[in-house]
Amino acid sequence: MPSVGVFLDNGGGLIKACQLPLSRTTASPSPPPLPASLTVPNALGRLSKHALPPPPELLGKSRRPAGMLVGGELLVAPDVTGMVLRRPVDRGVVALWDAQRDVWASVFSKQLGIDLDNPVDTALIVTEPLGLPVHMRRAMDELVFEEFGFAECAPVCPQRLAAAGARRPTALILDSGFSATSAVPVVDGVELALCARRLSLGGKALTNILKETVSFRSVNLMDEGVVVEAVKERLCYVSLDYHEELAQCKKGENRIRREYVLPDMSRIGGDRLGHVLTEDEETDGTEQILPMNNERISVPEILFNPSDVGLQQAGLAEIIFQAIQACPEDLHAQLYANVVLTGGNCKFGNFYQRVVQELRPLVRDNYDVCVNMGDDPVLTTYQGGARALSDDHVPLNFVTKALYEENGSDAVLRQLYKDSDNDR
Amino acid sequence: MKLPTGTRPTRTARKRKVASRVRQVDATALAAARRRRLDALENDNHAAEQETAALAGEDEYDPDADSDDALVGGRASKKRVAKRARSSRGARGARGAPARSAKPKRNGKRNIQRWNKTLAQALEEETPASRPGGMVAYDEIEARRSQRPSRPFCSVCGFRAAYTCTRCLVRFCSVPCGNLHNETRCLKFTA
Repeated sequence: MPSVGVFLDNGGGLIKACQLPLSRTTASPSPPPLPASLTVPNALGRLSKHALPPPPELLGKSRRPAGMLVGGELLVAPDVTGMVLRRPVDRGVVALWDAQRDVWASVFSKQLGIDLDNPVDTALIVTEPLGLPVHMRRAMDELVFEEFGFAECAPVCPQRLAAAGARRPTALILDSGFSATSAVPVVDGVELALCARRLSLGGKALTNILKETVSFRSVNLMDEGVVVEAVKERLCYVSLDYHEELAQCKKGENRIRREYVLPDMSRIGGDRLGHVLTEDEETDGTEQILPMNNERISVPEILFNPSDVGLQQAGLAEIIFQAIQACPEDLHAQLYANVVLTGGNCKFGNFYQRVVQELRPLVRDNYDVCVNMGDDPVLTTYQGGARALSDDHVPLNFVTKALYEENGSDAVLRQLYKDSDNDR
Repeated sequence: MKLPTGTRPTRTARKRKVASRVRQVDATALAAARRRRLDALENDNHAAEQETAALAGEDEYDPDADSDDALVGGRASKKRVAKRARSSRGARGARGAPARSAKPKRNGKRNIQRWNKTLAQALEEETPASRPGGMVAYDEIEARRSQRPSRPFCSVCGFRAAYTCTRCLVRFCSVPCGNLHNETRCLKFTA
């Protein structure tokens, strides 16, 4: 029985991870405070040829090619203009396993301090999205047991952990992350996989839409994904009355328009991501200014109306409705009263209000609609995962390395999915 | 000069060439263009860079060599890495899974790279029989269609649009935006 547990929320944009002593057998009366999450971009980056190199003391000794950054090192790079990213996760599932191994290796050895040569004493809890192809499930076994050699592994649906993190055994989890948005009903701590609904739009798609839009309309930023992502996070918000605010945008002087100062690396000490131009800031006319007008509201609006970009899927509030309607009717009241919002897109301003505004008219009036959002919606799943390590309230299915080595990944599949056969 | 007998003489025997410039783009081409656009939204990098970044060759960094106490020297050359990637790509076992007999790496570890596969490829190879009963399929949980009608927005400036391009059915709001659309994005040039 391993004594150390590692939890890793393998998000498309950010990895959230922690390491705790594994005490699933003895539920302590007063749970220890959760450790702060280790949050690392899930990406490899190659600096552009003209970029400033990061200071060597931040990278440590390394013999990898110059300008290749892994995971957390992307955060310390002083110059991100023209950086080429290689993200292991594509549409929510891991597609590039060698890149994933490199990022995990840097998280495990550098940030968590796990001895990768001898991980026999370590159990891993890793998130895997619903609807994963079997190919990816098998590859995960190989990565966990053969590349890293963990003693036990529990792949788990991230929304199940989010329900545990929000301390609601029965809830509808709306997870709007970097690669997709999904609404998953969780009942008594276990997700109802067949009732889940996934909208194939996430933070990455929104960033790319913004990139395409501003490159077409004003400044060409097609190669500046990192900068555009910062612009999106700082300036975009969800409108509560889209058509009204759009009409306001059309006027020359309006309260929505903002200007963003793009990073200029030819200056000494230039900020790496740029900043929003404040009212009293002086400009000397040499900065590159990106005007943001209706782009501020039109980009997050796509989550609520995917048909605006030609995607024939229901919007964010509607998938909550669709997921709950797919459940047995006696659960409806309880699920509508426990809607939990998680994921990075929830950080858009007015996101919560807009979900309430759109969901209420869809639901019959004898049901109460109660929407909840934690202080940091990015970390709801992480809190559930950390809690799963420290007590045994979250149902987890641990697969041992011995089983994998003895009977292969077919046996792993049988163990993971044998007990949910009666869901169908 | 001889006219063809039995049929009415046409105005000209030359084939009309203008048709392709003004023809309306058909529904399948429109759907394909829309799908291409939605796929492009999931790219990490701009199109040209996407190609080079996705190729395995540029990423030959080895996490084992990254640790401080790793031995110096003995790194695989670029050619050898590329060769290994090629040969492992060719070796596929049954069930679409890579062959288990793939050569272990020099330090005894397997080459995980051979599992690389895009989601589209993995879904294409998957059959209902290869998936255990309790495992939900990717397409099964896709959001259903919206109950709401789609809304017209100008493809150029983003405001409400009153007009539709006669060739490619894209919306635009005014004559300047319409002209800009015709010059840059109209599908008659791309489809």
